[in-house]
Amino acid sequence: MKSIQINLENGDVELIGMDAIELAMLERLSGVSRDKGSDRFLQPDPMDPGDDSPEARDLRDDWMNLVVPELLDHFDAQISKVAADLDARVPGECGDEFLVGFGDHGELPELGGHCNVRIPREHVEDWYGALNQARLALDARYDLSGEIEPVGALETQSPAWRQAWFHSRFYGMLQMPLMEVMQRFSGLPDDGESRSPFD
Amino acid sequence: MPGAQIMCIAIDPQGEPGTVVLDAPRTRTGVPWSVIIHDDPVNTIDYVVLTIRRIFGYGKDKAFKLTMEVHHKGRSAVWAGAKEKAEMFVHQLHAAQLQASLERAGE
Repeated sequence: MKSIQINLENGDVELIGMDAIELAMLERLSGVSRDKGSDRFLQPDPMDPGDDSPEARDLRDDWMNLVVPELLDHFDAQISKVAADLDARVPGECGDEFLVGFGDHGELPELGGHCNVRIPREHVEDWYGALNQARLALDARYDLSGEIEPVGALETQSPAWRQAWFHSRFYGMLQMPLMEVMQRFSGLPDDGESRSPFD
Repeated sequence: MPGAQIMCIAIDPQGEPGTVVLDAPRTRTGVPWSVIIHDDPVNTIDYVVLTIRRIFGYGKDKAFKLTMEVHHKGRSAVWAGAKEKAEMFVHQLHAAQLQASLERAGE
């Protein structure tokens, strides 16, 4: 990717000069986010896991029946918006046509041209959420949160682990400018005072 | 009725006429519930601060303090009050992909 541009007036974000590998990683978001490890955020426990009281069991049942379907709809909508923005991509500054042929899981796509992807302000939080889903699922499945020391130790990990690690790092990198937009356009006061009636 | 206190009143068949035995209340009304945010290895401090501010209306300093408590201690009780409201907040936190739960305050 050549650059990430934030429009400071309207909050739109543009990913400039994405290559085929980067696009492929984004197009895998839906598969990654629903792979093993996704239960943690798709079916969260509203009570302490050690609480097996009748009250806790009742609330868990309610959560599964009433809350979890809503969460799934919400999370699916985030991924759909990312997919729509990716579909609307335009040829990038290098100008070449994109070669479509991303191969199977684990294979490198054919390298071709570049593209620009525009993330409108109203989709920024959906992108953040979709990228987060993928990182949560990858971390739960592959345990990526530990530090890799020395850096060369990355080579000792399995190919699947390394791929998950690179995907997670890429998604996290993209979240940073999106967080910048979310903070700038949050509408929250930039002071230490609370506006909460609950204080 | 949510929050209503229910007491069992039984007439003691062995006792004098008019003797009433009161059981302990079936529900502990008035006990507030806490909303707990749990640490996770993915969500950033900035995101947790922003989410807390949005959901609970806290100022930047308070939200940051609570977030750092999550980060250092693994969890933080960020709000306490009625159970129904606590459930609503946990729902919102789950929608924001934070790990959250509710428990009786003081437990």
